[in-house]
Amino acid sequence: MTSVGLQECLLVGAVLFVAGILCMVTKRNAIGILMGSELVLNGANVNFVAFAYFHDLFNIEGQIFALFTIVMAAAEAAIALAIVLNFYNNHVTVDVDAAEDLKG
Amino acid sequence: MPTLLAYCLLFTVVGVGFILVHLLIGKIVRPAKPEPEKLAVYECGEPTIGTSWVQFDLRFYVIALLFVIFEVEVAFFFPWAVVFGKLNALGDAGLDEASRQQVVQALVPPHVEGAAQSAAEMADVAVTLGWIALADILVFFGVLLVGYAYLWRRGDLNWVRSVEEEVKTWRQVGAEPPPELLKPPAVEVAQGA
Amino acid sequence: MLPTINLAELQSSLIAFAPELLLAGGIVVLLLLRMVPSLERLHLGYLALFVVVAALVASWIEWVNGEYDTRPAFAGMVTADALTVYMRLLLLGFTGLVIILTLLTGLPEREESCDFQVMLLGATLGMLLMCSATHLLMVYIAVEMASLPSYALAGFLKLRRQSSEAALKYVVYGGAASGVMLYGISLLAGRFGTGYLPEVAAGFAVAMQRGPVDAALLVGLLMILVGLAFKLSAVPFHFWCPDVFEGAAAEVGAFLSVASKGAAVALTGRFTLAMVGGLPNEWATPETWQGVAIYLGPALAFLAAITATFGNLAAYAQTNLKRLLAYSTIAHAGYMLMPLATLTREGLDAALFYLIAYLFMNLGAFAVVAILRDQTGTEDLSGYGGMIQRAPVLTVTMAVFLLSLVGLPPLMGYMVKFQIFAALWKSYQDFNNTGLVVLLVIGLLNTVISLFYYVRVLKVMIIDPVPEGTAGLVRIPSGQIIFVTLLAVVVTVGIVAWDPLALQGSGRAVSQFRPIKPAGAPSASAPAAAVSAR
Repeated sequence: MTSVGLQECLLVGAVLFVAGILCMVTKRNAIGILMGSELVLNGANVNFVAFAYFHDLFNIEGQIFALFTIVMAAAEAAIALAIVLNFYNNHVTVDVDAAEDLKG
Repeated sequence: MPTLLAYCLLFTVVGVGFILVHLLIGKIVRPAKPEPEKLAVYECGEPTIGTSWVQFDLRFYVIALLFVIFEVEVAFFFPWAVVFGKLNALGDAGLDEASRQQVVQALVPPHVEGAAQSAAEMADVAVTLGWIALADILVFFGVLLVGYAYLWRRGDLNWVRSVEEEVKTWRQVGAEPPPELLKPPAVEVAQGA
Repeated sequence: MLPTINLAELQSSLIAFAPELLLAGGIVVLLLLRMVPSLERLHLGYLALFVVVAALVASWIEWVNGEYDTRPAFAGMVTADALTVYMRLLLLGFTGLVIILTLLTGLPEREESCDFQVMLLGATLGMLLMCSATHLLMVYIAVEMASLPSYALAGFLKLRRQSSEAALKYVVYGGAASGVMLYGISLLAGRFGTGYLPEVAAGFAVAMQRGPVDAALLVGLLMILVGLAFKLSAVPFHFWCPDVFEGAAAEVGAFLSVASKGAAVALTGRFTLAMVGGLPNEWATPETWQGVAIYLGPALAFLAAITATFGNLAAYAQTNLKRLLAYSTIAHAGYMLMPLATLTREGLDAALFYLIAYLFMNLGAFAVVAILRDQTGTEDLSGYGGMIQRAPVLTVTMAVFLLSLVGLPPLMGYMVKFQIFAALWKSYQDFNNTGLVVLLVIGLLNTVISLFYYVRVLKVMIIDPVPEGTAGLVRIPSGQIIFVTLLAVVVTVGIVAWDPLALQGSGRAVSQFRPIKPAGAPSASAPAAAVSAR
């Protein structure tokens, strides 16, 4: 069986990234959009870990990148969910199409 | 790559086929005599109450948010713990040479170069590093604790408080709070209080 | 073979980042103070102001002593060079002014002052790190650190529909932009095996020089630029900006428009200059960097041109004053991007110099809006008719701020715009790049376009009749009057300190970057350049 190389890992990362972008573009539900942005971050994370595994030079640094990304993603998710909650309290929906007071 | 692709295809085909075959066999073999009892949703043998698409109480989210933050911060402790443990082992000058080599190899990435050190020198460096690492994590954990204490003090961890606070805020701005906030406390509130 | 720890280096790093540490410590103290029941009624704005002033004094001492160097601090994650110290002075001074404004207008209630000030200080801390980041990981962390409190600040008015909507839009667009940027960072850092900016830049230049063009690298660079453009609110990543500024409080708008953009300008300048060889590298010849510059320069120039033009054109149709100012800040982001497109340290110098005037005039304009909102209850332009009779001092100061934003002499806005166009012209002469002249012409045309909508605001405030049913003279607390008057005085007389022929204070901030010479010219050595700039 062929071993999985850097290319395949980067492919997984790219798929996650594209899926996340598509999710963000198409979803009308605020929670769905946030899930899309998590997918994007995880796509980047797969890249970091893959590079760290296959590059000796990047070994430690790549893992640290991934670690910080995980924590940052969690912090962002927490803030974003709190804001969505606030939006729900004011609009009684999490549909982003309801966000239409501000335009011009 | 082609072999890998073939494997992926194989697994997909087998996976899909396995389920399809079983569902098909079941469809053919079983007698189709539906009755209300059979069509009911199975929920641990209990009759179901309401639909499964109910909205959870918003207070769950607040607790969940706080949990997510503090839980993920713990991720920073893992690399620290690994390094700190190895440094402690190296700090012991009486460590035998074989296990010392092992620890150093696990600790220092292969491309990092440095002058060769005697066991005593290495122990010295390891102890200094260990103290710095300990100070680092104490500061980090201290800041986390301050954040935790802050939201405890604010009452964000209280189960009952959020509703009362919200009603208060609504009244403060001179508006009548939405009716669901004014409902008599549900069962779990009574238990929590 | 443990790497030895240089305790002296760690100590010097800690001392060099004393202002940041002071801010961080201040945040913890603010949080701790809320634990004490007897201090519950205390308004924490004054303490936050004290922390900022302390950090400002620390940076000022560093600036005066020249105690900054180009050496990397904290193992190359950040650096406390002259650019960092310069931006510290600007950002900390500005944050101090914003805190004073919030104290005067009383935006956060006493109970919520802790939350508000902590988020304000936290965002400032992130912005300071943005200005000093020399590692791609630090770039990402700093951008997030600056963004996360900003999202919450935008939604601070909890019971206002518009505020929650502004925060939602901000966080959705911001999350997308930072995700894209992180993916770009993963491509670059992974490819070169490090995120250290000088090494990434060197690897990039060599890869471009060796030819065939590596698409993954260019895509990575483009994705990082997307993240930076979002922070700058450059078109086409500006959608959040007008909505956030309209929905959030005017004080928050003032903070985001100057501090967030200023930090983004510094970060973009440092990043782009590093990518074209602005950091000292003995081995690299000017030809080495050409491969990157031919992509980066036009991309920035295009971004600058459409940002300035779109911002000015869209501002023309606005009726809400905060929204109008939001589009005006987009246009100004375009102006600040223009000199960066020259990819020289003189260009970054001009952009940094622009920030000084932008700070005072934009803060002043937002402050007037905040004060009038409190007194008249409206932010709509139509509600401000005949304001000259109702609040004469405010109207005059507003006129000063808006005319300065246009760039009319003898106000501060004129001198900084002059520097920007001078930088473009000088760069055109050095590099003989016609695109820069086109950019210069676009900039001049934009200045003319912007005149119309700024003057329209003044026309409403001065010439139009007072709307029916509004009270007579608006009574404004004297503290607020003094605040905006002082800002207006600075904007008016600031030009005295300007010598168009000499290096500005910001010239010192860019002194550590290598002068970029056109290909073929002998490259000047870095130390000599640093000395001459002093």
